[in-house]
Amino acid sequence: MKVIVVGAGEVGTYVADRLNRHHEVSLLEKNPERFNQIERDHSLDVLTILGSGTDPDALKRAGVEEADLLVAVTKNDDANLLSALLAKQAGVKRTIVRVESRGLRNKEVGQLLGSSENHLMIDPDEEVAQDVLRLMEYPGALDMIHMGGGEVVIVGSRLPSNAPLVGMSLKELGEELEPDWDFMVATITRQMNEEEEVTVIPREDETLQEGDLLRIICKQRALRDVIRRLGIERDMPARALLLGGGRTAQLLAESLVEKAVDVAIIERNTDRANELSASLKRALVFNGDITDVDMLEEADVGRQDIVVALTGEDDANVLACLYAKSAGARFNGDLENTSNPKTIAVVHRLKLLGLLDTHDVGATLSPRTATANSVLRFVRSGDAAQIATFLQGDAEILEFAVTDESACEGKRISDAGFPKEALVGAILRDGKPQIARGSTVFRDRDHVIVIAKSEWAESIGQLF
Amino acid sequence: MSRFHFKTMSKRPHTTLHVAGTALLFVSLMMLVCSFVELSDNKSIYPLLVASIICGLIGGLARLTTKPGTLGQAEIFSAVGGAYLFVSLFGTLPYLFAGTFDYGGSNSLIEFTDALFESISGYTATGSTVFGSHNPIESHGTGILLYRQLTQWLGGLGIVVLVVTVLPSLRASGLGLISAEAPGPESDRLASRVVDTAREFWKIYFVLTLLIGVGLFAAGMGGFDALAHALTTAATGGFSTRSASIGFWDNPTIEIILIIGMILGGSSFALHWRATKERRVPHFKDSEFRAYIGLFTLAAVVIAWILSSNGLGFGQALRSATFNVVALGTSSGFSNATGDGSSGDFAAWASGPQAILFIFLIFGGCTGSTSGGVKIFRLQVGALHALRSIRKFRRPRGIFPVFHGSKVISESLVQRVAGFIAVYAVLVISGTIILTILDTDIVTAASGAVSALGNMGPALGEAGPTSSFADAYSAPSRLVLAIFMLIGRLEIFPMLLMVISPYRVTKKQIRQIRKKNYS
Repeated sequence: MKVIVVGAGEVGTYVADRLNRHHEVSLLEKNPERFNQIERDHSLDVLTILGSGTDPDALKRAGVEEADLLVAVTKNDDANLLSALLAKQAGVKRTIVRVESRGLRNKEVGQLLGSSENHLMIDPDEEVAQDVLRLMEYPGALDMIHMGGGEVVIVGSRLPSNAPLVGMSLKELGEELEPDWDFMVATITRQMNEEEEVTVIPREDETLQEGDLLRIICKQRALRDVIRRLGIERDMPARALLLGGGRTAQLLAESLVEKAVDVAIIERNTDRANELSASLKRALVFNGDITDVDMLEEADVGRQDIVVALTGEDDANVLACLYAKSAGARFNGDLENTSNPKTIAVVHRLKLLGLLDTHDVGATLSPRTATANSVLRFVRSGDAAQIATFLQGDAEILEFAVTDESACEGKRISDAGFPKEALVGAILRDGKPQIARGSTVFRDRDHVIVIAKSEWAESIGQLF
Repeated sequence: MSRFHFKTMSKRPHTTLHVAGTALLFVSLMMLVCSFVELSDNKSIYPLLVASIICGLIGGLARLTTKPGTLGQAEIFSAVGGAYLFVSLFGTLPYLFAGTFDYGGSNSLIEFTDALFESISGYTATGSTVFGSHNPIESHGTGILLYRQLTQWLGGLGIVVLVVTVLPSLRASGLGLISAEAPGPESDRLASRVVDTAREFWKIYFVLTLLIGVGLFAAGMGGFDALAHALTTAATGGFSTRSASIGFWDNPTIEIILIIGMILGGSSFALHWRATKERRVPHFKDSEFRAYIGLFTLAAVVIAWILSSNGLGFGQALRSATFNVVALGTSSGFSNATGDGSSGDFAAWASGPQAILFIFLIFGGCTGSTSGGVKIFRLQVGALHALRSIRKFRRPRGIFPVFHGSKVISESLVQRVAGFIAVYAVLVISGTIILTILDTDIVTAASGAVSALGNMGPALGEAGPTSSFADAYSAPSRLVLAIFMLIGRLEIFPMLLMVISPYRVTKKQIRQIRKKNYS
């Protein structure tokens, strides 16, 4: 498939990179400076073209005539919509448009772009806000992905020493869960030495250790049990402090205020702070720098239940989260106290994530993956309805539908010919989830959730 | 071409004279109508007729020889202030010609002071009166009485709003004039053109007056009295054609109609306008209106409870409490007292209810209404501003916007409101001191200053609802009160600036002259 990505920003480059593994991608960027920067960046191996997405000539140079998909993700709503319309006119069937303005997310604009199967509007800020909100409910979880219409959840968490799962082998666990498994351990990411972490799909004899990063695939109704076994508590915070008052923070604050959470926001820009305080009547807005300790103290950082750092600066986000932890420790007299504020930091530079994976800064998430997940999900729809990627490790989650023409139909999972580095996690049969076992037989109209290294995605797709 | 040129040159641009002249023409027309009403009483039509001719000539001259010039903030204030000064001054003519205040024992200076007091009290829709037992209202002709009621009707919604309806040449600057006369939370532009906005205001005002009049007539008032009281109810003025005011009728139905009329007159006309356009009642969604009704209800119930615990029947207590809270709160100032010390005579109530009434003297009605006082909106903003100042102590970097309903009040407006309240306080205090020095006791002085500044009408102490201002205050005090009424009618700043700007201009000229002399 040929894909054009318009806008080589944070989201655009990441999406282009992810799509480039299986598709032919060209990336349009109109800012020469940014264009040169990308050209010099050897980690991104895509065809980059200097030009605007609203310029038909530039689109032609990007190959719009043969393209199957256009992803317009610049910061400018109008430009994104115009590129999509131009692409549609040039014969591109499917479009993904980044639209921030709520005024533009309506039926009328949607109709301009065509039927809903063929176009998608995304809002990266909204995606991040939703992710943060989910993490807030389970502050100990590193990430949480809902699949299969919400019936199946994939939870990522690092095992603390007091977790009931520590020291258990998967065999013991499996015996305990018989006959009907509610969840299974999909991957284990383990620190092998100082520098290297290895992600494996575990076998029966594996024993879980403290510090392991687990991805557990479970039924929605078993989530509570899984959370307990992982040693992380479930608790909607009563007081939340948001550091940085961007659009994500605003969307997040709106949802939190609706859930009766006490919200405070610190924003550096005076005009923006005024604007926020005017639109969020029930939130308290401060005008100050989040790395200014006095400012954080004034906002009662140590007494918060959760602190979320969402500025565009990774270092500020991390520093502020670290300070929040220590202030909480001072207030509660103990670093390990459970009433210390939980912290969530938004991190843009993925390479930094390795540094952050400690107990000090709680969960971290990236706006890129949040957006990329929804883009990839849309791109694969048809053969795979949903897809998600993780911040760490290169495993992907795929969802496939079994039809009576599928190669695997009627076969047992163990005989269907899945590669070793892939795991069939769950099957949705008649809307009901079940955790897959080797003896499970694929049937027509099953939805199958598979966890696999990304290079296997294509070959697994051929089984369905 | 040259003739056209000549014609435009002959008209000097002078906004103040132009606006004031136009206002005088309206006044002249009003006097003319009243002079014919005088015929029905077999009284002389000449006082009103002559006054009408004088006003017509001077007004016409001023209007024809000038044209509206540029309208900066200073010109706007000067035009609005000038219109009120002109009208108040020429408004004394009918009283002087008819000898209304020429009773035994008064000299011509006092007579003029009284006429000026009554005129200003009329055009500012205040309702304080110098009529009294020594000079009963009923002894005067219906023409003069109708004129007196009409001054309040004209002043209630605003002379300048009326002037703007016939001055399309003002264009958008007319909005500045309207808001200098009756400031709202934001410029309440109802129609796309300012002239139409002013006309819409007058249409609503006219209909409201008509409805109240019909209601009063149906409730048993005579035709003339019903008209006369409808005029001053919609204007939240408070002038009556009877010495005993509403107490003359002692009729609960009449009082209920008046209460409703006063509440409507004291609420935002922009809301009334929206109600007529959108065919639904937007009032209870408005934060100011809700506070207004809430405060009135609370005060009425509390006062009724105190009065009834002091031995009055609860029904009678509630009737007196509600009527007086609304009459004073909306700055109307009608009285339902049937005599000294009766249940409606709030000057004879216990101190608690009187203190509550005093607070309502300060409050006033809603912005964009015909009422006076500080206005509920300003009080809301002022209170929220005070609260956040306290919160700001603990969180100096926190941002605490002042919300009104779901809207944020801009900082500049909050500052203006705070400034207004501060200047208001200074004026009340200085007014109290001046009045106390001149002759009155402190309660009468303080309540008189607040009452005049808020265009209320009656005050407490000696100047209660059953007494005349002629008895409660000396002539110099009455002059001070009259000035306060003018300052209060235009919401303080225009009048103060009218005084301050010429002073600054003069100072600048003096400086320039000095410079010349030195060089």
